[in-house]
Amino acid sequence: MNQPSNAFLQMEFPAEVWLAAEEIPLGRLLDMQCGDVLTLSKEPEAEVDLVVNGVTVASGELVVVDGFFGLRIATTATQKLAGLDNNGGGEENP
Amino acid sequence: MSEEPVLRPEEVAGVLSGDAGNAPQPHADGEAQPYSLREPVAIPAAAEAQARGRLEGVVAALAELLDAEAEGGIKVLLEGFQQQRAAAALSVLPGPVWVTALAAKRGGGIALALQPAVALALMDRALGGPGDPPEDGREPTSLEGRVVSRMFGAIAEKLGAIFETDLTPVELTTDRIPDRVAASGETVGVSPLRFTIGETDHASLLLASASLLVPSGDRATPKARPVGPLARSLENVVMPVVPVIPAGRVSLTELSSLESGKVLKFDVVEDSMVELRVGETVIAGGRIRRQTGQTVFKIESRVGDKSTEEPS
Repeated sequence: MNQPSNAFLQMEFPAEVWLAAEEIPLGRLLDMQCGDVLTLSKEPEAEVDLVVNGVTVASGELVVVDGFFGLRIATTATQKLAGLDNNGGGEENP
Repeated sequence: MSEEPVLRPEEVAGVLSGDAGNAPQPHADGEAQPYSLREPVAIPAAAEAQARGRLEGVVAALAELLDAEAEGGIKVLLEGFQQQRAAAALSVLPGPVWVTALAAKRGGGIALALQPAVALALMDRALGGPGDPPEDGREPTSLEGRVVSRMFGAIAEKLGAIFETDLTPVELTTDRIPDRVAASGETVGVSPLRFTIGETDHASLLLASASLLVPSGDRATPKARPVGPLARSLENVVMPVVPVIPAGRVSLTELSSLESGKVLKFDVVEDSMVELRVGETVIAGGRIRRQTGQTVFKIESRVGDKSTEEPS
């Protein structure tokens, strides 16, 4: 890829941190009230995904820096793709 | 109790020779700390007596250890129980505070916060000395840290029976509770302890995470709600839901420099509202909490419910 210009480098994208995905029956979702709790199967300390504009670009550990959320990167999407290539590839993203 | 000797000959020699070792480094401002979302007020008032009872069991085991290692030269007494944020709990003791801890596999644990005088006196007595260390108010050497951790670890099995879980020793820390035992914002059960060495009293603290002090109870099962004429079928349709933290905007500069180990900081304060989504649709807002040992999403607003929606 060509080196992007400064104008490109300053572009900003909406980012999200995706925590544990759960599968819940529709009946339970409709019945949810304020104060109810959904038990999560994954600890918040476990690895979470960084999603930018709908694309998972990295995964890592959720951290707090000076009272603000942050993400300590464990793996980038590039590294994951490289791993797939090394293992023969063939898998497609859903 | 473990068959392993509390002190090994080479460690005894090291303590006597004052091996400096590598003292633990304190946290620096701006350093990334592992994030843990745990219930701020964790021990219901009705369960406080039970929680205190468990800590009294810890003190009884500790007293037994002191009798064995210090031959009665050091006494320990529990003086009350309260709930407190982990980050603030140690502030009542003059630093540096040596914190030895045991962690449970499922998270949480027990920590014993000692003034150096108590820890050094305990080691001195265990070595056959008078329990009157010549120095105080310093950070531990790595060797002293290992010795104190092993002493506390010697009663891990006994304490595990009290808390009905396996407990393993955690490396000794200074002036902070290990992250594996409690996050800084987490509320823990705290009991002040009074150690009496000879004629002198020393204050210490015994802390335990709420997940250990309060056993998990039965959860209420919500009532099913009919969904039109196809209620029975539709109610059982499984929906994938994801709690999502809207993390603001990141620049291409930041994205292009992502690499393992790097910390990407967001403009979102800790403990902000988390969205619960089905696909791209937000269905509720809330926060992630630790509740009776489990991680839960606690709903604070429902989309479409104007009385609870936050203004955008």
